[in-house]
Amino acid sequence: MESNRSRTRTLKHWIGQPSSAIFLVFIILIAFFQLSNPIFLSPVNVATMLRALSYTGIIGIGMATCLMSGVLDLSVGSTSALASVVFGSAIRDWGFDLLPAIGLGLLMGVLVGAINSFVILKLKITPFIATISMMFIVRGLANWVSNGYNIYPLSDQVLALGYARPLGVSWAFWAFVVLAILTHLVLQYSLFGLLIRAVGSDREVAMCTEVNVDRVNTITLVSVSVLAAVAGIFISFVINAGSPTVGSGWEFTAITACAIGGISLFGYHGSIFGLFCGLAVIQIMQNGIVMLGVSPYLQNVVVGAILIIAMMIDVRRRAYLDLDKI
Amino acid sequence: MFKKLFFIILLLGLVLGACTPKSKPVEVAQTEKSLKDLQNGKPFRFITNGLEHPVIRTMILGFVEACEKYEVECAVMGAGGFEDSDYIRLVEQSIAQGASGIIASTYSPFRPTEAIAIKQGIPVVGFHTPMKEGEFPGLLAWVATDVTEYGKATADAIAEKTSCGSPVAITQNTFNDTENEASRSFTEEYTLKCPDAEVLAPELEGGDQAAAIAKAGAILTAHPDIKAAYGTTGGSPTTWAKALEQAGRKPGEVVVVGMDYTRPNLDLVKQGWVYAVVGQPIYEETYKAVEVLIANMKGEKVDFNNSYPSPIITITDVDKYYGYADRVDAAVQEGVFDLP
Repeated sequence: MESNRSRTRTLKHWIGQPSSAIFLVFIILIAFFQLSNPIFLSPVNVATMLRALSYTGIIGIGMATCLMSGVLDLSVGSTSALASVVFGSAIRDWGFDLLPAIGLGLLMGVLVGAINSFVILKLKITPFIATISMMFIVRGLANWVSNGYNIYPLSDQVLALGYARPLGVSWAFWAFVVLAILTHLVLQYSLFGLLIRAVGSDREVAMCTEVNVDRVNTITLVSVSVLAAVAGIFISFVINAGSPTVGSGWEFTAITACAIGGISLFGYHGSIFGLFCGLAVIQIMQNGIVMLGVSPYLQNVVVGAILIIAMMIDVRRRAYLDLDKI
Repeated sequence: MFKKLFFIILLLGLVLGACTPKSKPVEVAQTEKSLKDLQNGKPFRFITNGLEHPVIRTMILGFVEACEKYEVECAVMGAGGFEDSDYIRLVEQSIAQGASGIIASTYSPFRPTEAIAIKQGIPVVGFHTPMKEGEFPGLLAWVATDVTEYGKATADAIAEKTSCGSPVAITQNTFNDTENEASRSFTEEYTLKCPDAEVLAPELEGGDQAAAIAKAGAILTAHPDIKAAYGTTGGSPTTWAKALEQAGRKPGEVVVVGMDYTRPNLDLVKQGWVYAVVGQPIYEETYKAVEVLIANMKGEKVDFNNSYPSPIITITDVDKYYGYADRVDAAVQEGVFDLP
C-alpha cells in the first residue's frame, strides 16, 4: 500500500516536470525512427542532427530566458544575419583579424539588444511589435552592409574553423552545450535566475518587491541578441561567407522549440532541458521523416501533426495534475 | 562696360556653338529621342524579387546593360525575399505607374495580374520559364533556357560520369514550375538512360543554408550508397558540398551537379566537391528581353520563342565563367543594384 503511494508520488513528481511530455515524445520518436532504420542513431547521423540544432539552439537559450522573463524577441534571425555580414566584412573588406572581427559581430548583437530594450522598456512598445519592427530594420541593415550580397570568401582560418570537428561534432554545438549548462545553472541556482522568473511571473509584484524589472529584461534582451550574433558567426564559419540571408525563420524555430519544450510563452515556467528536448524533437522529426521516405509534400504535415500530438500530451499532463486550476 | 562684356560672352557662345560638330551627336540624339518618344515617358520595367540573390543580380545586370546600350528608359521593380505576394504587388505597381513594356516571370500565380497589364496594352515578355504558344494568352514572347533540355543534359552528364550510378538524389529550393520541370526531365532521362537506376523523389532544401545542409545530411544518412546528387537551385552546390564534408566524404566521392555560375559555386567545382554547375543564361535572358521589347515597340516582328542553351560547366571550362562573377562584383561596387 505504502509502496503504491510512493510510486504514485514519484510518477506525479515526474509528470509534474514541465518538460516531461516532450521528453516522452523525444524518447518515442528516437525509438520509432531507430526501429524504422538502424542507421538513425549512427554516430554520423547523430552528429549531423546535433550540428544542425546548434544554431537555433544557441538562440533558443536566449529566447528561453526572454520568455521566462516575460518578453519576446522576433529580431533574432535578422541579428544573426547582421552579425554574419559585419563579421564577414570585417575579415574580408576591413582587414580585421579573426578575434576582433568576432568581437565586432558580437557588438552588433549588443547594439540590437540595447535598442530592443530601449524601445520596449522606455518607449513602452510591446515586445511583439518592437522586435518585429527590428526584424525588418536589422535585415535591411544586413542587406545594406553587404549590398545584399554574400561576402565571400573570408579566410582560410575561418574555413578551418568551419571544417573543424571537435569530438566529431562542431564548435557551434559545443558552444551550445557550454551556454546551455551555464544558463541552466544561472536559472536554477542563482539569484538572477530567481529574478528572471519573478519578473516573468508577475511584473507588477516584482516591481513592488523592489526588483529592478527593467534591468532584468534588458539583460535577457541583450543576451538573446548576442546569442543570435554568436549563431550568425558560427554559420559564417561553415559557409566561409558573411550572408545577409542566414537566420531566416530561426526566430520561429527557437520559439517553437521553447513552446514544445514546456517553456511558457507568458513567463516563469520552463527549463533549458525542456528547450533541448524541444530542439531535439524538431531536428529528429526533420531528419527522421526524410529517412522514412515520407513524401516531401507531406513532410510538413507530419511535422505539424507530431507537434500537435506533443502539445496534446502536455495538455493531458496538465489536466492530470490540475495545473490549469492553479 | 558690363553690357559690352555680356554681349562679347554671348557672341563667343554663339560662335562656339556654331563651330561644334553636329553630325554624330544629332544622330544619337535623334535615335535616343525616337526610342524614348516611342516609350512616351513610360519605362521598360523588369520585375523581380530575391534582390539579394546573386543569380537575380546577374539578371538585373543584363537588363541594365541592355538599357544602357540601346538608350531606353528602364526601371527595376525589385523586392527582397521570394514572397509571391510581393511579386504580384510589384506587377500591380508597374501597371499603376505606367510601363512601355514589362519583363516578368510567368510563374503561374503571377499570370492573372500580368494579364491585366496585357489587357491595358502593355507588352509583357516572360523570362526564365519557357512557355507554349497559347499557354498565356497575350504574352508577347519568352526568353529562357529550355529547362527540360538542361534537366536532360544534367542526367546525361551524371550518367556518363558515374556509369549509371544509383541511387541519385534530387533537391529543390521550392516546388515551383521551373525546378519541378528540371527534376521531372532529369528523372525521366536518367531512368531512360539507366533503366536499373533509382532516382529518389525530390526533397526540399529550402533557402536557409543551415537547414539545407541538415536536410542533405539526412538524405546521405538514409541513402549512404548515394552516387550522385542533382540540386536544382543555386544554393545546392554549397548545400551538398557541406553535407558531404560533414559526413566525412571526400571531394568527388558523390557526383554533385548544381545550378548557376556564382563565385562560391565555381570555387566548389574547382575544389572538386561539385562536379559541375548548370550555366543558365541568366544574363542573356534579360538582355534579350529588352531587345524583344524594343523590336516590338518599333513595330518589327518578334519571335515568341527565344531559347538559350544552358551549358554544363565542369572544371575544364570553369575559368571563363569567373568573368561574369567579376562583372557582378564590379556592378555591386558601382551601385547598379542600389534601387531607389
